[in-house]
Amino acid sequence: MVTLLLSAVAIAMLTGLAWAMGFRSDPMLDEAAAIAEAEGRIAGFRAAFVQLAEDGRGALLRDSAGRLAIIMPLGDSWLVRRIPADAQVRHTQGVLHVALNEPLLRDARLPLSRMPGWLEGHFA
Amino acid sequence: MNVPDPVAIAVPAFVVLVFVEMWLTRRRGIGRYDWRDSGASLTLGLGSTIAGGVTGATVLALSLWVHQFRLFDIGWSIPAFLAAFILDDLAYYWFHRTAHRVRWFWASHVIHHSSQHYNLTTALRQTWTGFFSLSFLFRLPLFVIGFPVEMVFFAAGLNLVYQFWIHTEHIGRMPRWFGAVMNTPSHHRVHHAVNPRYLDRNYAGVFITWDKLFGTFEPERADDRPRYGIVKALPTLNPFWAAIHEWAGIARDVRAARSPKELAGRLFGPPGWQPDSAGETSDAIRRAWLAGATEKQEA
Repeated sequence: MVTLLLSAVAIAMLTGLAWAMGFRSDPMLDEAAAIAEAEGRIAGFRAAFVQLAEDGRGALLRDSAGRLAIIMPLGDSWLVRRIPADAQVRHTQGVLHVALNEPLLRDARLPLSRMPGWLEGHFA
Repeated sequence: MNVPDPVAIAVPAFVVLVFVEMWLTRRRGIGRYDWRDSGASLTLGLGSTIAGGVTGATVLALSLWVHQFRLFDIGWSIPAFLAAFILDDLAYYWFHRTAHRVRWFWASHVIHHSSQHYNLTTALRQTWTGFFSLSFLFRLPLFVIGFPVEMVFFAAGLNLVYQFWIHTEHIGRMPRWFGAVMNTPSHHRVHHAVNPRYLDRNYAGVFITWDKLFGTFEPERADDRPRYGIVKALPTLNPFWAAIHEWAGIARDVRAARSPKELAGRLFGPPGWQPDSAGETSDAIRRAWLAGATEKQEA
């Protein structure tokens, strides 16, 4: 029991130390970083169009074959998902909603003031 | 013979080394830390220790039971211990390879790979469900051969301690003679990467020789920097979800399976397997990547 308590204290200490040392950034994407992230995480994806999120914390991309990908923030890293062709996508009040229907990620959201032109006609 | 637990002895050193690595990361700008990710990794490490404590007695009892049927009476000696260490590492290689190629075992092991960071806290991100997935089976042949149970567990503990220091980006390449035989940070960075070239490579625990022998070795390349994590990164940093998400996926898929063949594929196929070869398995990802690379070359 004492060992467990000591372990819990050590975890709290190291986690707090990481925070105190400044390892708590929420980075932003530029187009090059968004392309690198999508191409690095989705095999065969070659980005042709990029639309960054309003706050730079995410992006929507289309590749030369017409496939779509979304990048969302996760801690100081990124979460990349291919958007299925049959996914429900809607744009309301400056936010793009993509129904990915995954556990803990049913509705992927991206702040976008307007839908990019290259996305028109992609979804019903 | 009573032997100490190498992992328990090493824990204070782990804590100090994590602190040193954080400091070096800040100072040198090499590697990455995130407090949320580190907290999750360390919590998963503690959970793994608790799970091991709960199930350890059963694994020990089973090991002793199997040892009754040993082929040889092997006593404690330096040559015997060296043999046990090497064979335990071979058993680890096959466990680890299976843990990446069979979803049932992957469901436990995925925890260790679920961080997008690669630092010393990642080393401590260990499974909670190894007992449930029966990963201890891979070590049983050593008891059948006749190695003393305490000797094998001691060797396994040393193996685990060895694997701690290789989870860092602060060490580039080790001397060639060392990396030819031993697992190194460079070799293991490849193992944690999701770059198609690196997927399902370098399963070694201590000796990289096994990968070279069984055709799964891939060297780290300067022009293909590792991207860490899993193919479908988790959408949360919650350690509890990291611990159980693949089991939840298995339960969902088992309920939805429409035939015994599909059921077998969902349980024991490679991670990402789908009926009709539609899944995003490591092999499929590598094929897509190779096809893309060929297209690029031709263009």
